[in-house]
Amino acid sequence: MLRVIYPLNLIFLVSAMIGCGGSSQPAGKNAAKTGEGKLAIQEVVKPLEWKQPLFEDVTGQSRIAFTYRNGETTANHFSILESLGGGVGVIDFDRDGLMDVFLAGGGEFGGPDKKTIQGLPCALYKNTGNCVFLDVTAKTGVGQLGGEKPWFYNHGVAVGDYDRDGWPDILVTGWGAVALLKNVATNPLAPGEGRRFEEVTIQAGLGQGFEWATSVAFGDLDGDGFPDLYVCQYVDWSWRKHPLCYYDGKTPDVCPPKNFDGLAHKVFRNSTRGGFEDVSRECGLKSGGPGQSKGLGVVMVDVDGNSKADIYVANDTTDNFFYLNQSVPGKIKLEERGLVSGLARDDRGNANGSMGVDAGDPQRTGKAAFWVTNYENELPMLYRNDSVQGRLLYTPFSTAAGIGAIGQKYVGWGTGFLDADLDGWEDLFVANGHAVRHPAGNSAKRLQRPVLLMNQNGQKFRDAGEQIGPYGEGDHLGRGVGFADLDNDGRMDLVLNPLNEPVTVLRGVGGKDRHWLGVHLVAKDNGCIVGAKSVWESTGKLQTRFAKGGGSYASSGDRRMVFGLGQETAGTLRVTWASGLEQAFENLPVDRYYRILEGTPAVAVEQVQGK
Amino acid sequence: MMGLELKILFKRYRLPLGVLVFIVVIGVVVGYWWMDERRRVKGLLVQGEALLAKREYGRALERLDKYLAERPGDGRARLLAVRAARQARDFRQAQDYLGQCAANYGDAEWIAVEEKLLAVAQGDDRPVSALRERSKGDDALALVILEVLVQRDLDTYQLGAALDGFTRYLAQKPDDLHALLGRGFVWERYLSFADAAENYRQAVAAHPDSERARLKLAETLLIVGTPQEALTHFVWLADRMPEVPPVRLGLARCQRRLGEPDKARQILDGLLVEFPNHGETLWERGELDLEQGKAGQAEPFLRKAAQARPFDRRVQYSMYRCLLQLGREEEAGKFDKRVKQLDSDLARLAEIRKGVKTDPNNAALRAEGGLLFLRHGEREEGVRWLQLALKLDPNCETAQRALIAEASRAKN
Repeated sequence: MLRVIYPLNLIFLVSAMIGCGGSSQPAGKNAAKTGEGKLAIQEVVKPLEWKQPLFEDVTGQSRIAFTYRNGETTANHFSILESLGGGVGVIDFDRDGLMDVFLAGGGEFGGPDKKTIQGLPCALYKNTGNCVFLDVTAKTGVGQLGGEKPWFYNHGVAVGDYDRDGWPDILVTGWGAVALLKNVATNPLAPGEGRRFEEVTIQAGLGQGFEWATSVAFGDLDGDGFPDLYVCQYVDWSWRKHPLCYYDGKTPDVCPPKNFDGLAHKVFRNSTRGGFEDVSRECGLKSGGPGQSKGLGVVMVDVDGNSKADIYVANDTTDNFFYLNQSVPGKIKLEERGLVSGLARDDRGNANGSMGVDAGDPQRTGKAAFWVTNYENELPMLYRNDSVQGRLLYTPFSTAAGIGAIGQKYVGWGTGFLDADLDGWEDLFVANGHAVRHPAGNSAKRLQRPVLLMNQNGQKFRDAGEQIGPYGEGDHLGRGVGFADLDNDGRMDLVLNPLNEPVTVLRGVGGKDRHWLGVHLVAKDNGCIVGAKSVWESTGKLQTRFAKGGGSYASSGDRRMVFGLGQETAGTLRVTWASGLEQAFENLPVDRYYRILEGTPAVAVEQVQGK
Repeated sequence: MMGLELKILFKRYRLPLGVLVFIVVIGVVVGYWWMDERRRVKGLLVQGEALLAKREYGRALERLDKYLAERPGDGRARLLAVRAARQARDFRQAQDYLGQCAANYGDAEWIAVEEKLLAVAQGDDRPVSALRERSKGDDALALVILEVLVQRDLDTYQLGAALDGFTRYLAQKPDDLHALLGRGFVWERYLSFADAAENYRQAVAAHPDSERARLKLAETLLIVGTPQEALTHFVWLADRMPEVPPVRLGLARCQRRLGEPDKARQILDGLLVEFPNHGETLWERGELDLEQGKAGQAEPFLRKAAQARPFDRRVQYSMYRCLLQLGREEEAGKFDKRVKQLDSDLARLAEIRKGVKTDPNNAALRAEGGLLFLRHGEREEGVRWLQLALKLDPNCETAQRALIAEASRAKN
């Protein structure tokens, strides 16, 4: 494989970065060099205290005023449809270097018998800097579908550049349908001046065949550089199959997934001609049926080091799937290895009620570990990657990591790895909330607090709920979470889209005296980067960030990679692209993002401009 | 004045003073003995009642038996003896006492109820509905009835009725330890461990010195996944009974779940020195190594655990994972097959449990359920189901054969 090392003099730094509410650059040597006296004061590094809040609620100042509705206030159907909620799509749709936010809107029940399932519009908020957003839903045309059709009852959001035109597109899932929204120029003669979205679902071959799509991941499975699609489908609920369940013997409530048959998931191969081909039947997918599938979460990441995106799927109450990618160019071939890899079940051999999922490297082994959020009476599961010599093997690690200390009273949804205090160890955040409306007896409550687990040098996780700040002290109906650095300060911010309560924006404020380095990978010809990885090496220690598709729950996060560096300011960044190309960069100044273009040394790295 | 009278008395009857003193002393001794005997006999009754309340039926019956030998005419004591004998499952003696009750005790309703309770305790279901009706009262007799009915509901796996019975019992006696633990047990059977823990928590609050309640609470808290809270109770228990294996195992499990593998390992290794074949301990110890990536070290523990607990799917699954980690796929496949077999059994058992709710007198279902319980290591429950199958159909060959085999196994 080609290995190129770019010395510092080949690195083209464009401009300094500015974040929300003032400076985004942490103090340190670089701050001193800039001559910014205010920052230089912070040169004295203070140890972080455990109680120090790591997030600040900036919902009010963000001007995002949006609520996902599930329709429970329009009719008392207690349908399982109402339990899923919706997600968040993080997208820099106008490529101004600031992450914008797309929100699923949900649905409601109409008609004389209140059995007409109607969608509620999604919304798009443009990031104008300083964590202030502008509602551009109408302007960009995402308030309705093509032909001014109303939205279907929607859940999931995925972001990917399916046509490789360099502008990210959006896929929205829901009950009975998906919608592909192509990012197009308002004025084709000036593509950078304004963007809007055009629904191209039917043209792209995604107009039929969906029963109930939930989470989606974009990722190049067959190695042609174009992102293919993995679409989770849930269960065979409809009004014709709509039982009521009574957990306390008298109060009607949403039935559990066990009362339904699972739906087969779907895989679409990108035709490379602006559309997709349904290859679900021939690519090796597991079938649906009783006790099968019931997919809610999916993440694509390379786990065996061949730079091909593999797929991990969180299924609700049935075995989770792990698909090892065995594709060849032009033909997607997946091999399900959930059980033999140890990823299908928990440490007791039980299939969990899994919802959210993510991949990361919390132990800094260089190998992708998986994290899955589960139902009450189950632990969220961290699976350590113990693969050796071509044998894929994962070991449940939650108990050993002390995660059991948080208890089993949570129903976990949106989740992800993030280095909240920039110490170089990936932490975990989980949005929680019950799936049923009246949890019986002494089980978990409907509204639940979110969980933050702080990584203690890769061996243990500490319950740090109090460090979420005031939002973490309250109970919520958590569902989708988008992880994004909204203010480009290197600290991951959270956009939470709970059920029937307003969207919340939590700005990351941890690790103030620590350094970081951000990487924005751009593959050749706008190819899909899923399967690639970046490694930061410093004083013999490694940190790895994986290019992922999907992740969290029904959401799509910031695809840039951030390394928390603690007090370090020097190291080597190595990038392994999905194409196999390897590049290395020495002595990058820290506390900024780098845009790295695959295999183009002249302007290989460029700092993204913030506003 | 008194002295003068005594003097006259002595002179008239020519009695020496010493004799008079002797008579007085004898009188005092006899009086004391008589009073002591009364107290002793009364004490037997009091002790019998107290033991009955503590549900130590054998000892209660012994005391009441002695009491009735002295006071054969005490009808109330005789009814208490009926209760004690019935609860001790000494039905012949209960019947004997009951036969003598009618003549000695006037409360006809109590006697009639005891007759019915005795019948139910011996497996006759005919009086059940009448007793259920009578148990709706809020008097002492209703509590006695509920106690029998709840036991009968548990024996016949009517968990809903048992839960209702415990709840009504607790409405009258909210702090009753037996009822709180019983209701917790029913919730456990429903696999609703949070509710079970709540009942055990109430039991500990009402009876803070009860080691039994504390152990149930601690063990259930571990199941519901609150190891920190469980640890406080296991530490309390360890202060009082440091050598008891379930307490030590619980402590080790808490430490493991709280991310303290070294502390857990130390306790488990100590336990295994004393109990080298204890399946649960072996499994826990093997898991500890397995999750640390030491499959080679975990294997001997897990292999022994899998032998000791062939019915435990968790253990079989651990062995499967361990062998996969060691690269022995073929052998791992055998354990995977075993897990699938156990899964299939559990699914069938769930169907049977549902089935007996709607068809409680189906002997074949009961027998099949009994066999499955036995196969999953739940001997007591299995035998109970098989006995019930035989009761419903005395010719049920499956139940007959299984019970004979089980008796032989127990003997060996």
